[in-house]
Parts: sequence; C-alpha cells; structure tokens
Amino acid sequence: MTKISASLFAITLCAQCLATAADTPPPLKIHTAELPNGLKIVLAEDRSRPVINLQVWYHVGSKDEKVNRTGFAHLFEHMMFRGSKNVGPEEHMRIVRESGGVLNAYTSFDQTVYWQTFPSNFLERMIWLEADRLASLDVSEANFKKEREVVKEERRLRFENPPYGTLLEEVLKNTFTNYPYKHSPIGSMEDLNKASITDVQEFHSLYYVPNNATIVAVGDFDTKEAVALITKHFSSIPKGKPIPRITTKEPELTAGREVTVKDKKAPLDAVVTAYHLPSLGHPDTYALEIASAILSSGQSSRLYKRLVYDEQSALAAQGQSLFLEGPSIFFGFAVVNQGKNIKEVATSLEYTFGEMAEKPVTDEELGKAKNQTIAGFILGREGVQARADFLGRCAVLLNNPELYNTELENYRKVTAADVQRVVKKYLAKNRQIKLFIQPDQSAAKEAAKQ
Amino acid sequence: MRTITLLTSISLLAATLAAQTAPKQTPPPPTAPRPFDFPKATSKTLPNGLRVYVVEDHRLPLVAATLQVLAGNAYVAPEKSGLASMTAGLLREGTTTRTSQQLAKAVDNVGGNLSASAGDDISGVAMSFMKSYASLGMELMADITRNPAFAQEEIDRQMRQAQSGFAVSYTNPEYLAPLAGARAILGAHPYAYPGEGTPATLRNIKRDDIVGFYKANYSPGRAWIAVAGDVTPAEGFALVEKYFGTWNAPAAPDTKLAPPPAPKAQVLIVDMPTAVQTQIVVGHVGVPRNHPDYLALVMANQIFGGSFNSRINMKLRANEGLTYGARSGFEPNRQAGGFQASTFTRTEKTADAIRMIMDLLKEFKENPATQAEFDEAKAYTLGVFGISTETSGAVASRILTNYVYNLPEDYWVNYRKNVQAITREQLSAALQKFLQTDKLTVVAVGNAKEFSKALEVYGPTRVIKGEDIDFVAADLLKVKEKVVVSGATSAAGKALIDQAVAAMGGLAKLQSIKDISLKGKLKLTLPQGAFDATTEEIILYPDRYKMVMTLPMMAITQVLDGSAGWMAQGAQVMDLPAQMVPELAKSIPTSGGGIGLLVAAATGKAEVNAVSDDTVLWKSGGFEVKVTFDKATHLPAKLAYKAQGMTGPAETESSLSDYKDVDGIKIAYTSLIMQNGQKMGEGALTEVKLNPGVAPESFKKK
Repeated sequence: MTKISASLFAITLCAQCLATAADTPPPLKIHTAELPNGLKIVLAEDRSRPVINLQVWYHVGSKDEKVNRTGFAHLFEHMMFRGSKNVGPEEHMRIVRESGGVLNAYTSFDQTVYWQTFPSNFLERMIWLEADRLASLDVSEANFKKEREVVKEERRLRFENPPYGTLLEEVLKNTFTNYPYKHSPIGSMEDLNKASITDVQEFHSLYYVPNNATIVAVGDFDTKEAVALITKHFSSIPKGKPIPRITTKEPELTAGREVTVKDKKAPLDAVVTAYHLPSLGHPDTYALEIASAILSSGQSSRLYKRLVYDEQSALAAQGQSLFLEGPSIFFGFAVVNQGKNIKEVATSLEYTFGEMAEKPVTDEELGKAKNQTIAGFILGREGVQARADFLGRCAVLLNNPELYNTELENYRKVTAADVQRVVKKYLAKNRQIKLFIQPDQSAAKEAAKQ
Repeated sequence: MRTITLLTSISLLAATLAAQTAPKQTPPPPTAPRPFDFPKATSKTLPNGLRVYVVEDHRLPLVAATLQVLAGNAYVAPEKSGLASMTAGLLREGTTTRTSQQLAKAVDNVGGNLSASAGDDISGVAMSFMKSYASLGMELMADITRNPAFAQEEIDRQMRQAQSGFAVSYTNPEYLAPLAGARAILGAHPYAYPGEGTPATLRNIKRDDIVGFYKANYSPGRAWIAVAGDVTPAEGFALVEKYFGTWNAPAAPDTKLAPPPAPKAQVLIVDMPTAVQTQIVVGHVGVPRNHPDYLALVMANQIFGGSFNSRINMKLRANEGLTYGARSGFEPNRQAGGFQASTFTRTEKTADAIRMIMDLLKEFKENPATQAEFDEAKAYTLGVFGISTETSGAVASRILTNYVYNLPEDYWVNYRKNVQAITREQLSAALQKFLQTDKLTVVAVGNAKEFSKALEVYGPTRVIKGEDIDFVAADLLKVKEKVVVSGATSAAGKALIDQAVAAMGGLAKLQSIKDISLKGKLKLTLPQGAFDATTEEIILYPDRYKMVMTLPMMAITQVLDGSAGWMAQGAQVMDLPAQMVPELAKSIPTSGGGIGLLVAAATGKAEVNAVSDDTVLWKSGGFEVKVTFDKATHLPAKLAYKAQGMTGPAETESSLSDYKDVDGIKIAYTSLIMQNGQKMGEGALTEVKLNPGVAPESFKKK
C-alpha cells in the first residue's frame, strides 16, 4: 500500500514538472511575406551561429502524379539538379559545395523540398541558384534518360533488394482503394520507363511556379535584407496557372480486410495492421500522436514491452501515424521472431490497441508521452535545418507558420479521455487492414537453382 | 587574404563558364564572412583519473553528455566478436538497483535519451535530457556505467534478439558488403571483425566473458567525459563529480594495436542469387587518424569520392547512370582502418562499374587534383566546418576525438588554419605515397554467376555462397559438420559406445528395457522469467512418448502415439503440427540419459563415428547427436543436437551428471540444458521406474 501511494506521489510530481518554463523551447520570431507572383516567404532570424538553412517547398508530391506516371514527382526532383538557364548540369551541387555548404532534396506524398545549409555570407548565391531553376529548366534528353537510370537504381537499393523493401508499397496498395496515396513516391519501374522529357517540361510549367512555392529560411540573416534579396531574384518569374488539386475521395472503411503477401526477400514473417486516420491539422491528430508515443516510443512503450521484451514474439514492434494532407494512416508493424506464430503476434498487436480503447491510459503514461513530445520539440530542433523543416511543414502543409510556436500547447492539452476516444474511434477492428507478410521460399530456391 | 584568393578563383571559373555559353549570369559573390571561433571547452581531471570537458551553450534548455572508454571491439578475441557491443548494450538493461524496465521508465518518463554502444576503439555512454532533468540524466548515466547488473535473463534476451536480427541482416547485400570488405582488406586485424558479432560468435559469449570484459576495461583511468549544453563549467563539473567522483576501478594499461596487414590484389565475391543489384567495395588499408598526412588525404578523398561532385560519383552516377551513389572514404581509427570506394549497380552492370572504379583510381594516382578541384575541396572543408559544429553536441564530440586519437588539445581550434596551409603539391604527394593501385581488394555481393568470371582479372578470386559465410572463420567459411567417415572413425566410435554400454550395465540389461517412467523437477529459464515445473515422462520403445509438464499456471502434455502426435494445454487438446512430430521424436533416444541412443548404436540401428577421443557423432534417420563420454567413467556426459528453441532452431546441449543405480543400470539424475549457449533449464529426477509396464493406451489422444 505504501508503495502505491509513493508512486502516485511521484506521478503528481512529474505532472507538475511537465509545465516548467525552463523546458519550453525558445519561440521563433517568424516573419512572412508574399510577392505579387504568389511566392510565399517564411523567415526566422537566429544569429547565434554564422549558418543558414534555406529551403524551397513546392506544394506538389507523388499524389499529384498523372495516371501511369507513378514516381514522376521524385524523378522530376532529380531533374532540378540537371541544369537551368545559368547553371549547368550538376553545377548546383558544385556551387553550394565550394561555398562550404551542404544540400539535398526530397519528395514525399504532398510536397517536394529542396534545401541547402551554408555559411551565412553566401545567402544571395543560394537564392540566385534556387531562382534560376524555378525560372527555367534546361535538361537534355540524354541527361533525362541517364537520371532515370539513377532513380531506378535508387528503387533497387531501397525497395527491391533489401528485406521488407516493398513493405510500404504493399501497405499503401492495400490501404487505399481510390486516393493517390495508393502508390509510394518511388513509383513503379514500368511507369518510370514511360516518363519522357515532355512530361518534365509539362510538370515544371504546371507545378514549379511561384504561386506553388514557399521559401523558408532559418539562421544568420537580417530579415529585411533577406526579403529584399528574394524579391530581387524571384519577382521577375511570372505567376503560373492555378494549381490543380486532388479531389478524389477515399471511401470510408466499414469492414476489416485481411491480405497475405508472399515476399521473396522477407527472412522472417511480419505483420502490419493499418487504419485510416483523419488528415493533417484535424484536432484529433494530437491525441493520436500521443497514443502513438504511448504505444511505441521508447523501451517502456506498450508495444515494445509486450511484444519485444515480455513475449519476445517480435524482433521489432512499432505503431506509427503518418499524417498527410489527404486521408492519413496509422500502422502497427511487427517482425515475428524465429519460431513464433504470425497469427499470435497479430493478435498481440490487436490486443494492445484494443486495450487502449477499453480503458484510459495511466497518468504516468500520459505524462511520459507529453514529456517525450516536449523533449522532441527541443532535442529535435537543435540546428537551423531541423527548425526550417518544421517551419516549412507548418507553413505549407498546415498553412500557418505560427503553429511552429503553438503546436506544443495542443499536445499538452491532450487528456487520457481524448486518447481513449481516438483509439476507439480510429483503431477499431472493423476499420483494420491486416497484412501478413511471409517469406516466399519457393522464389528464393528457384533463383538459387538457376 | 585567403578569402580573396578564393573569390578570385571562383570568379575565374565563372568567367570560363560564361565564355562557353554567351549570356549566362555569374553566381552572386559572397559578402564578408562572419567570424566564427571554435567554441571553447573547459576541462579538468578528477582525482580518480576521469578527464572532464564542459562545453557551455545556453541556446536551448538541454544538457547532453558523452562518456567514452577504451573498451571497443578491438579489445576482443575474434571468436568472441560482439563482446564489446553486447557489454555496452547490456549497460542499458539493468543495474544493481534498477531493472531494465525501471531504467527505461525513468528515461522515457521525462523524455530523455540514454544509450550505450561500442565502436572499434571505444565504447560510449551518452545521455541527453531537458535541463530540469539534467541531474537525473547524469545519475542514470553513472548508474549504468558503474553498476551494470548483467543479469542472465537480460543477456539471454539480448542474445535472442541479436540472433533474430542476424536472420534479417544476413539476407541483405547492403549489410554483408562492408563486413566482407573489412575482412578482405584488414585480414585478421582486430578491426576486421564485425562489431556486433556473428551468429556463431555470440553463442561463444557467456556471462563470465561479459563481466570479465567490463572489469578489465571500464574504469575512470581509461575514460573521459564531455558535458555540453545549458550548464556553466562549474555546474558541469559539479554534476560529473557528484555521480562519477567516487568511481574507482583499476585501469588496465592501454595496449597498442598492431598495424593491419599490407595490401594485396584480390577478389572476394559473396553470392546472393536473388539479388537484383550488386554491392561493390574496392579499397585497401588506410591510415590512422593521427597520421601526419590525414588532413591532406581527406581533402584528396573529397575530390575522388567525398562529395556529389566527386570524380567517382560524377562518372558512375551523373554520366553513366549506373548507380544512385558512389563514394569513397577513410575509416580512421587509432590504427589504420580501411580506405574504400563503394557503390551498387544493377547486376548486369557490375563488371562495368568495377572496371570504371579501377580506372578512376589509377587516374587518381597519376593526377590527384586539378587546381580547380583542389580549390573547391579546400573551400568546402573550411566552410562546412561551421555547419558541422553548429550544435554543442557536435562540438563536444569533436573535442572527445582529441583524446581517443592522441591529437593535440588545440587541434580543432587550429583546424581551419591547418587546412588553409595545405598546398596542392602536399596533397598530391600524400595521395601518391598512399594509394597502391596494384594492390586493391575488390568485393562484390550479388548474383555471382553474372559477373564472377569478369572479375578474375583483378586478382585471385574467391566466390563464397551467402549462406556459407562466417566473418570470423580464418577462411570465411562456416564450419560444416563434415565427419570424414572411415573404417577407423567407425571402429573408434563403436569402441566408445561399447565402453559406455558396459559402464551403464551391459547391452543385455539395456535391451531388456521395454518401457520407462521418469518423474522429476525442472527449473525453466524462459524469456518470461524463471519457472519451477514438475515433469512426468513415459516411454514405450521404439516410438511412443509422453511428457506432462506442470507449470504454476497450467499443465502441458505432448505425446507421440506411434503414428501421430498430439498436445494439450490446460483443457485444450490439439494435433501436434506436422513439423513438430520429428522434434518430439528426438526425446525418445535422448531421454533417460540417452539409453535409446546407446542401444541403437550398439545394435547397428544407428551409425556412429568418433569425432574425437571422447565424442561420437550418432546418426539415425535425419537426427544427428554428438555424444561426449566422461573419460573416467565412460558414461555419457553430454548430448549435443539441433532442436527447436524458443526463437527457432537452436544448438541444444544437455549435460548429464549424478548417475545412480536403478535395477543394475546407471541413470543420470540431473541434467543441465543449454540452448544457443544460454541456460534453458535444469532437471532433477525424483523417481525412475524401468519396465513399469506402460500400456500403449496411455498414449491415446484424450
């Protein structure tokens, strides 16, 4: 009895600690502007180090691809390094590099983002580089074809060769029936082969226009000067046509589905349970993120504790929400340990979710998940790049850069009842898509014989 | 002054570009750089020998610390590879006062991070906590560093997880290529072996090894710590002193490693017939981190394979479209690690890609750097330094490298000055002295039949099947239980069996046993914890077996009734899955101390061959058992065989002792059962009845 009250005391103490001012991340002073051609600018000065991260967000992703052109948004991202009017093929990289900077780009379902981190005295050069490839793209047919081969190697490396490489594709294919999230940003080999240089020009003139772009920068600059430099290099680029947006609806799931996939690269059984979630920005997303943290953040999380530590039925177990602009998904994932039964592991996953719908999470778990979230806001935003990543997400996908400073409050407000309600609502059995991934040994044996 | 030189060269370059295509704009020039000095660290050494650094940075309410200790993989014998990683990993899994789950909760509850891992030279323990929990973070960090419990059940759990992890990684060419590269290039040097061990080496690691390794290496005299973030130096030192000040453990002297073997031309191919893409490594031995040419060589590597615009990536990726990426780099350690170029390409382009890498390396040796390449590499190295030291954690980790690699205390303060001083001639000379293009190792992991012939031009070529590879074996091959069967081994095996049969009571007596009943106690060590069970076994030779195990929560029954099998758990009765029938059948010859094994061998129903002077390999049907006899008594001392374990097929060993006489026959009353080197159970018989008259009906399904 003494023991119980002692731990209750500890919890109360912990809940109080939660709100200490010392552990609140310092707010960003955000400045926004928009040019007449529709280009949005989001800036946050931080002069503590002579470093800047500059990103250009294009509001186009794999969901915007035409039929039979899966993987094109990403293939196009590669083309942006293959030359523009004043910058030769691969020169972009060289120029950033000789400035002492680093760069990269990524393509997701909803957005394509180009970034560079560099010594702050090179700001104008970086702005010039980005403006040049937005204003004009100059890619030869030969370079297009070579780059397509590069992307195919990327697909082989990340998806076709490693164990469970095609898992994400299987999950998406089986989770969405209509919505263009049913394919992953890497696309299919078949569609990559169909893409042409004409597609490249079309895509550029439709989506790579100022009215579909947002410049985000965090670091060592004077805001006024930065706005002036961006205006100088971007304002002459003409505004494009209105951007076509996806209107497809994904039908509501009313009955569960179960699918078995034979995977010749999978060494062990694996099980995925997927559910539809509301879109990014929906008020329920905060409670769902807290639920994800309770399920799988850290070694004391429910999934790790049950499946990996106690039962030892899984090599790894995770529950994760993937919030997107359109219908989003939550998936539980477990790799089944050798000699363990896939159905039992699936049942354990389901049971763990079910338990959270049945009774509220403890105050201790809730406090823990919130502390992890607060810590994530501090630990995860240490450098200029990490801060610009989140600022861009708030500005472009959530349409409000100020959320950068206020999002944490929304997580702090989540109650145990909220968590129970959202788990019950979204992670219900009749909304579940269950995937059993099993090694296809016949394929492996066949290959060995040849 | 230097900035001006740089500017001139850039505008010259831009002018050249502009000349080629008339109206091109030139990139805008930079403004004056903001001065930036490498952040200062304050340091002191505690009376117990622990060196402490504090890097003060109040930008975020965050405190991080890293402790490093000379306890890396290089201090481990090859056959125990993985010992350093296992030891480090287990620090996080419980101390003398906190269980693994209590530690996890303490860390997770406040959103902290606490981790431990091993590298080649050092092991590291790291924490990062929000400022208000900094003291808790340091307390937990000290607790896992100073008081690890190394509980047997945690060791077992880690081992099982690691073995399952191997099942996944050993099918991945991207995992195998660097391991194969390290062994091929570094030979039998301590850096050559996989840090996380192999399926075989982890089975060799026992708790005593872990405790021994910890005691020999984890001490303040072999360790140093950096605290970085929202603390003043005084606060930082006080935190460390409070939790590490009383840490006293004798320090073993710092042993110096030998340099790796000299490079040689050779080809190693790991065959993965289902691969669609080949992983490629080409290289030879590198240089130690504190080598005088290190900085020049790293800048040279920038040109060859250290960036997107490097020669190898421009050729293989941008110009040929063969790969998503090609790069090269050094793995600097206290001793030389490898220098490796690596890439991956679709199977049919494997030979082309390797030929291009070989050609590029030869060209590199002839012409290490054009002036433009040199200027770019230098400008990048200078400029990126500010980015790579942006956070206090990054600053702290650089300061720690001074200590590991015996670099001067002011190494990072003077870093940019030293980079600036390097000339193109120095860089070229260093590279030309270092690179030996006639002594390169080529490693390819992929579908061998498509390219192995074409690679033979690069040196003596070996092809090893993916499933046969053992990264610790001298010849890289798994030892297969290949017993050379001859008249001699057969006769010697028979002799050992005959001695054992005589010792147990003689063949006539053993053959007279038609059925047996055994009752006993079993202490089970399972992942879920330790359990006490009672067991009742009955055997009706040759093919009926029943075992009832009663656990605190339920009874489990497993039965073979001569034709099929069934099982019961509590009230639930079901057929035994087909694959479990032969598994359970293994109990018939092995139960009762292996009476069945001996009789079968003595009457010619099983094949036996001696594998040493006290061990025979026993075979019947598909079942193989290694039986080891006690040299003094000739009685069976150990049975070793493969069986289904908790997490899949497991090497099972049953050690027999406490022989007692029952009706003139010697029966082993106690047995210790190990699986994959971990204890699984201890059995003690309480009642043995020979020929009690077990009826076939006793085995019928309920």
